[in-house]
Amino acid sequence: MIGLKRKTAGLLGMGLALALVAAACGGTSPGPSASSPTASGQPTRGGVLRTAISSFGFTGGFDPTDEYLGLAWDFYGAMLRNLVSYKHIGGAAGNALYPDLATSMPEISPDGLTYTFHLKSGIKFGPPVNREITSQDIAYAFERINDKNAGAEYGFYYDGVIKGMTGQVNGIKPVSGIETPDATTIIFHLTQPTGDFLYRLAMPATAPIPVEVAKCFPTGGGYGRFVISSGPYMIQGSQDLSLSQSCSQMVKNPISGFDPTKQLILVRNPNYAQSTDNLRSNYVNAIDIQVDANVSDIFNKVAAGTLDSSLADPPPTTTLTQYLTNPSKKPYLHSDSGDRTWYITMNLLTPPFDDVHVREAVNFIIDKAALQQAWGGPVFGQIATHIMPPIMLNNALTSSYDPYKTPGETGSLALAQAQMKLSKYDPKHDGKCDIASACTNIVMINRNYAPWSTMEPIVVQDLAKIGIQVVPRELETGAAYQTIDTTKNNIPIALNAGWGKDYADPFTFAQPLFGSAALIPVGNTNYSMVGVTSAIIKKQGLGVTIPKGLSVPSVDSLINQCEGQAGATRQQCWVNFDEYVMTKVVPWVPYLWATNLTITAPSLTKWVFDQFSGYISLTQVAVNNNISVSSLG
Amino acid sequence: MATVQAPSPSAGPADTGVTQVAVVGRSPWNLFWSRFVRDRAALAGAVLIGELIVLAIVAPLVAKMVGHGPNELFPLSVHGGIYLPTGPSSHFWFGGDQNGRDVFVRTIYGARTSLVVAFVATGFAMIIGVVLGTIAGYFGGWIDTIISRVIDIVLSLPLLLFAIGLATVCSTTATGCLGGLLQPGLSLVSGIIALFTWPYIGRIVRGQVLSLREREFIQAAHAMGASDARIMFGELLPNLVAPIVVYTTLIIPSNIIFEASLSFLGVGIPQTTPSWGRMLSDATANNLFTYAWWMMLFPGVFLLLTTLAFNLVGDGLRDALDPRGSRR
Repeated sequence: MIGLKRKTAGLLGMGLALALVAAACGGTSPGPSASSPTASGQPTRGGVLRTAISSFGFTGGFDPTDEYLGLAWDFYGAMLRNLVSYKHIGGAAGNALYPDLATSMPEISPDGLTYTFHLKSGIKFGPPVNREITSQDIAYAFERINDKNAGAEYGFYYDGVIKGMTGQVNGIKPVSGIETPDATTIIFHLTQPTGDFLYRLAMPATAPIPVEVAKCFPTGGGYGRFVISSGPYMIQGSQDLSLSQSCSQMVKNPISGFDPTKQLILVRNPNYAQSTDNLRSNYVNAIDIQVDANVSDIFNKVAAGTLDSSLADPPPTTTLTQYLTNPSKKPYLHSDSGDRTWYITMNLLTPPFDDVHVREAVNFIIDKAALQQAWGGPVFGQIATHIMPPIMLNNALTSSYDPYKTPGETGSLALAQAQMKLSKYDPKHDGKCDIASACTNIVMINRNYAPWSTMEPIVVQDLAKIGIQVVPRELETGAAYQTIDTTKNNIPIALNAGWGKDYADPFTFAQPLFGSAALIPVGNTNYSMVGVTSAIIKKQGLGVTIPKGLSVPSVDSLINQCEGQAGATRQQCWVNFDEYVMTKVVPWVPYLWATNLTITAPSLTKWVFDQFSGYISLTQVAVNNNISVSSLG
Repeated sequence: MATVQAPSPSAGPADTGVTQVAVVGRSPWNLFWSRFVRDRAALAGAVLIGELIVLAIVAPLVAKMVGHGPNELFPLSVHGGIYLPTGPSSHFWFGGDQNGRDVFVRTIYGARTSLVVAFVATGFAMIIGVVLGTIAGYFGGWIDTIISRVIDIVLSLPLLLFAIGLATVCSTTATGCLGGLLQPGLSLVSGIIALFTWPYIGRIVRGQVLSLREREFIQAAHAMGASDARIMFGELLPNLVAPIVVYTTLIIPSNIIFEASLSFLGVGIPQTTPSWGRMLSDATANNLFTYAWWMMLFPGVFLLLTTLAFNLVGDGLRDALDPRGSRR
């Protein structure tokens, strides 16, 4: 299901389990650039990348089949290889796919339904498996996704897309749509043209899994402490795992370098051949990730040089201020686009937001500059002017597209009133919402902590200017999401929501957020109810009614149209989609494209951001710290 | 204050043993007052509470004087591209908060929230506790069993989960829940506090009634045919004033802390209602207090002083009302 997972807990909860966004990077954000050597000269090989996190917060026990945490995907980038993969670099270039296990990009049949890959030879699993990776190992990963017992958390990207995949199969069974005619060939048969299928093949769940080990873990999450490397790094101590022991013995003896409550230590995989990989640089000899619940301590250690980099925790205010105001420290603060949009969502079924002119008026009145300040300022994100973060559209639609532009993005009463006057809720034509029953006592759901609570007075004040009186209701993160994702609550407006990509295709925004297929009674992510019909309400039991005479706009056909395309036409289709949603549907006030902040020490000599995962690129950064691998563990 | 003679100003500890000429009838109130005023700490507490009440009442005047409303937004200060609260200045005596609002004005307004909880929520708790405690103690039997078990159940409810759950349930509609009776915010928080603190008073009252109901004056009232209600609230209640006053006063500070804790956790009190607990929670967001110390210091000090004052007064009252206490 497309559940809570990809929603963003955001900046302040990043260390918690709900910060499950798979975010990415970019150079569009203000502040230091996405990829900058912080010292002169060539990056050197060697040393250990030392970093720490307040808590891992894994959603699937670090089992690649299940794991839905962006941070885990960062680690997999160093451990696992897919048929196609990223260069694990920053900016829009980081979203480009290249053959990785495959010799070249696939042969795609003219009807777009058959993808054929050939595998490189000489690529082996890490210890203790030590054998060549075959097409069957990749097919096995899909069979595992298809096994209902394995608990794949994003199986919906494959179920119904690859022939024979439903996610409902009991046990490991061959998938009819995946052929492995020989050890180096794999063929996928799709049910319909799927323009972003290659992105789905770059997801960690589809990386090869050796049956020798994974057979012992038939249920979700179990394989997480036994992940066998197919890439440049492996969990320290992997060679000590005995394949001759029985499964009941094996489950008791996880690989020593990984303890979810303490640490993850990655060391070089002796079976990895750099000659087979032109995507990763692999400068460091090892990666040492420690759990340290004290976030201030992590940043103090980075400042003292005993850690080379922070990881996913946002820096405390005082730390951040030091790095922003001290010119000698500023180069060590990295602010990269998280490919995440924060927005105010309005419900198309509830007055006064069932009138598109009111929704447009709201877009004009909100002081986005003040909301950005409430987050702390531009270092935390760029003001959003439309749905998709620009990097998702390869910068084909940037912030220069701004259908609700106001001077300084501070909101405009005149423009808002002009829209309000067109609405049926302004019979007096005074630019204010006049009908008391529709315009007052409107529940607005929000989170009960900063920066959301900081934004609240601003939004309340702005909406009051056009006669909309909201009643804020503050809840903790999970309760706020549950309140708005239960359709029968029919929440008119909410301030708590954000969305991050899984992979850099706008489909990962469009379908869950605006597709009628996403409309379910509990766990709905289409909060605005775009495309809802009486038939869907009845079929799904949504518990809402469509106001008399209202025709709810739908974007289903647009989504289907874009999803059937590939390449440049696909990109243009999504640009048109974004514009259509912003001007014709107007379900949101998008206000921030958020950044992820990382602070590094001078010992980190080359900084690179991994756009796919949204964190430091483990395979592209370099350190100069003379730490030896033998001192770890 | 019905009795005439004020205690003689010279009546100090040294005089107590000495038999003086005119025998002055000293009512219980006289005795209490003479003891209470000699407790300097309790007096100081009472004065502080008095000042706080005055401050809470004149809060709008204070806001007018400094020219900042409690919810007025002012610009933040910029430090190398990051927006931060402004520090204390001649315009903002206690500095500004994360929205640029005046911490001084909000702290003064916060006294209102705390005092509402102190008096309204505790008052409700007291009324429920006294009524149910008296009924349980007076009737005994199955009525006592039911009420006592209810007390046990309430005291074993997971309080914070309950509060968060209620706030969530009441947040999905504009009218709140229970037909608009409970609105997220001050009324919900007060309701939760009353719901969870009445058993403390109830238990004490029940215990007192159990011993009082065997006394002769109650039996006399029975013999004269007085109704149960009259005995409970006409005869028993006046004898319960001392413990009720003492325990209520002692529950007040814990309830103020309770409100602050609930607000700190974000259970319901909205941004627009200044509350010390909420202000403290704002200060801790992303370790903001390490920079904006004023956001934590001022509401923290007020919270400390207020609870301290109520505790001192409560202790003083207990000492002064307890007949077994030494007659200082």
